[in-house]
Amino acid sequence: MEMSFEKNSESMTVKVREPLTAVTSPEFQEKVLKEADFRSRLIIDIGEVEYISSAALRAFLTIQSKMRDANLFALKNPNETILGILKETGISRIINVI
Amino acid sequence: MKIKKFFEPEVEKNIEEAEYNANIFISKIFLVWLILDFVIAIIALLFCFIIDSGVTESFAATYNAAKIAGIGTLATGLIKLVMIIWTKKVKGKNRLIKYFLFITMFLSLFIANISYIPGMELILAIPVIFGVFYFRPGFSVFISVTDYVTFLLAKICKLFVPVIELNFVETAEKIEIEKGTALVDSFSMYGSVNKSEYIESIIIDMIFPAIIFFFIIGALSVLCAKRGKDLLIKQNDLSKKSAALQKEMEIASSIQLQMLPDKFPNYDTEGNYDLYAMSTPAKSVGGDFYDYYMLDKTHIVCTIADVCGKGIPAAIFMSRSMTCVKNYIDKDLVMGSDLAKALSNAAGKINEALKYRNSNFTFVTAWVGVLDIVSGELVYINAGHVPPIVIDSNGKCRNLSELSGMVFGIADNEYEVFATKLSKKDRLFICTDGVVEANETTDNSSDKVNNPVLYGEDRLKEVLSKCSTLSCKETVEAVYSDILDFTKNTPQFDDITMLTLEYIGH
Repeated sequence: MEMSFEKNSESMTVKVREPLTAVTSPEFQEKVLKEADFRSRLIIDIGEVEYISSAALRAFLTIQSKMRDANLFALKNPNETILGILKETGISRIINVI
Repeated sequence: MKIKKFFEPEVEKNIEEAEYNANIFISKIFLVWLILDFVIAIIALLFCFIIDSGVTESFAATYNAAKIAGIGTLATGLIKLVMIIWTKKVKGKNRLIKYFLFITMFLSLFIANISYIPGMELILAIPVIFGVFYFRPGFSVFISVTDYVTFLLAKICKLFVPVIELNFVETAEKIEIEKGTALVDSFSMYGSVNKSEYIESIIIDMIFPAIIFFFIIGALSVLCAKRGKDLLIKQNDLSKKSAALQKEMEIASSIQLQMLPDKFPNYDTEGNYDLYAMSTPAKSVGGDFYDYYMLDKTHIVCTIADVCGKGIPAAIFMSRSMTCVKNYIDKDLVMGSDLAKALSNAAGKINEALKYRNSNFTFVTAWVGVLDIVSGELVYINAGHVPPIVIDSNGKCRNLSELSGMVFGIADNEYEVFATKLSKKDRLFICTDGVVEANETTDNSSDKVNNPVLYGEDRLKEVLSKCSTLSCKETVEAVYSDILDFTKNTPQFDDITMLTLEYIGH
């Protein structure tokens, strides 16, 4: 799973570099949950991700549920396809997209 | 009373299979060995011929050794040839073959040990190594013991072979040894070496250390054979478990398939609508489902849904979702009631029910529609599902892209109901994302894996627009066939489910 973590005092940005599928999503979720402190802002940068599956949506929801405040979690730079999926499923209503 | 442990027939069968394969493998090794034998035999016999013809006397001491090597390797080479033919003929499937193969091997190594240069003892490790391939610790013990006996016999016999073993004598001055002088007879030629000293040197320098050497490789071979046998037993257990699991999956798959309706209306003879659906899970079981049934004489309910993920977890949630959807639709949609309001209520209740005890956020995208087969009025909700496509009689496509609310099972939500009126011969095509996201990644290049080309909505619409004259069944089959053409030999990545409903409007 190609991903990197950038941390500072206020937030952590997770940059994902490969598609989040049924195979890669559990590993993505596990790594993020291991690194995140759930109190500061957590941004998942999916600008380099071409597509995501429903398993990725579940991973986003699971990670968000662990945050002290759901608003601290956000998805960044989704491409049009992914944005379409987020809107189509209605998940963009409960997860911040920036 | 000591009880002999019998292995299950399958394990014994696996060990027998390994034995037959080992026989074939060793016979193949024999083929290479045979060529080597013939080369050695030719060189050795040529060497003897040169000495016989009096060209040189300087190698006289090794004359008879060469003779034994020549004739011995030629003979054992011929025996190997017989063994190769026998093994090939019965495909290694004879319990006696392995004994004959190893006797041939020991004979060859015996000849090599009594006739070749010192240090050839190491090649006696070969049978011990090959013995491991049979996964029978008892057989490995037999090979190790026979190996050591062969070594001892070779050492004793070597005394009577007319050759000087230069490792054990000091040759301060050049000694001329006559052709054919046996080793035991040659001691008198050396002032400082006598027979007892030589035998002592053999016992101290060769036979005693060799016991340790043979014991170590013998013990290792027995351990390896035992380990191999244990692995075969474990493999057998795993195969059994895998077969049992496979059987359970087949039953689960059959149960899941039975949950989906498979009686479709006859296009030519029945009423005001035509309908066909199919569902193909990516694994034995999946998370997609469809359903349809007559709510009353004039209203047909159609549902298509997709649980996130696939395989067993999705299938379990699929079962829960399908029951839930049907129950609430049946309860809330009563004849004569406000259909839109009832559908919205039902959707809310479905969402609540699926949200209950769902801490791992498994969600379901679903589309539920109710078609009045007399008027063509279609009322529907879309909970985060792929938008359906309406194809008119001319093949023109339009999306029903309105979104009622988010997917079922995640968060509190109200679901808006939408309505549209279908014209005669309008056809509704609903599918899950496994259709539009089908992809072709057979070449496994990183570019294709990371950026796969998806089947997509455009190609789907292109096919659908050409199907306006076909029945619903033919339409679904045409789309599925086109997906298979597109994905080529790529294994199905996601569950594929399609439903087509046509409003005939008589």
